[in-house]
Amino acid sequence: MTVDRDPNLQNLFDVANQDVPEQPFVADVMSQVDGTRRKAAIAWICVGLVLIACFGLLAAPLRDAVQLLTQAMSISLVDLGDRWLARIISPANSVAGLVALGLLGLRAAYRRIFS
Amino acid sequence: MPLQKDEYARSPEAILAGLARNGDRDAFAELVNRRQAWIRNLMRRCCNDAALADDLAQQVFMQAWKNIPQLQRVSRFGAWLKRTAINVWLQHLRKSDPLKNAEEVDDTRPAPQDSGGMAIDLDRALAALSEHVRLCIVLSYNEGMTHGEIADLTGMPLGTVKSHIRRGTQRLQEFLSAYDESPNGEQPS
Repeated sequence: MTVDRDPNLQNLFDVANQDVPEQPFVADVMSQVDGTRRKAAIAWICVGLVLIACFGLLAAPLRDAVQLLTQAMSISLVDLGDRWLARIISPANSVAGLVALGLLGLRAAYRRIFS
Repeated sequence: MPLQKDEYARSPEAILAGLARNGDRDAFAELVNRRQAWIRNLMRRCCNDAALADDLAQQVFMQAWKNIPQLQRVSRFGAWLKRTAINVWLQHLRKSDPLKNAEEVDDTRPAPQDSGGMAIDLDRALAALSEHVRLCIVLSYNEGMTHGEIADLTGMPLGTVKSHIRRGTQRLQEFLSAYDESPNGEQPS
């Protein structure tokens, strides 16, 4: 795209751009940049400390909760004794199997309704 | 391994932009050093106030530092910085008095006389234009951008950009007619 510019005005603009002293401008900008970096570093340290504190405080309750959940998932739905058949179908004959089936059913229903 | 100070000064801009994108402070300082005069002059043309122009230029570089991790093509650092500068200026316009951004040009302002220099006269003449007309004129004459590029950068319709530049050029020609005889920067008698 060609642009017609007034040559006299163009000349004025070309000549008017001055050499501006770089200091203290550059120093000011970089001190602001350093301030931003310091603030970001402090923020990250604070987040890290909070996370460490949270993990420290919640580690034991979280571990207990995970253990309980794991034990609950392996409970058999129907008591088939201790035979080989019971061992083979134990993944399906458990709370975990029921939960998995429930989730699959929910997904199928969601797809049928919304797709 | 970090570069030495003089290596930064000798490095191409794209390399510096790449280093700054990865958080290299010294590379960014070198970029500021190289581009500060350009951005400050651009802002001076836009706002006719050296102190405000320097404040806005600082904001431009601070935004550049914040957003440089998102810079896709380091070879386009200059164009990206210019876009950042225009965005800072447009944000400043939005924050300031909206009546100042009216389309009408203030015809009551006197033409420059007894100027302290051509740059001052040019800035005074530019200050007599409305903000958006001035921005279009500055981008066209100071930055050498086409109408389409200006429309793309500022978000104004192409027809509006063309009319702004036509009207602004006429106004500047009236204000700065004394320089027609001495277009090389000599002060008019």
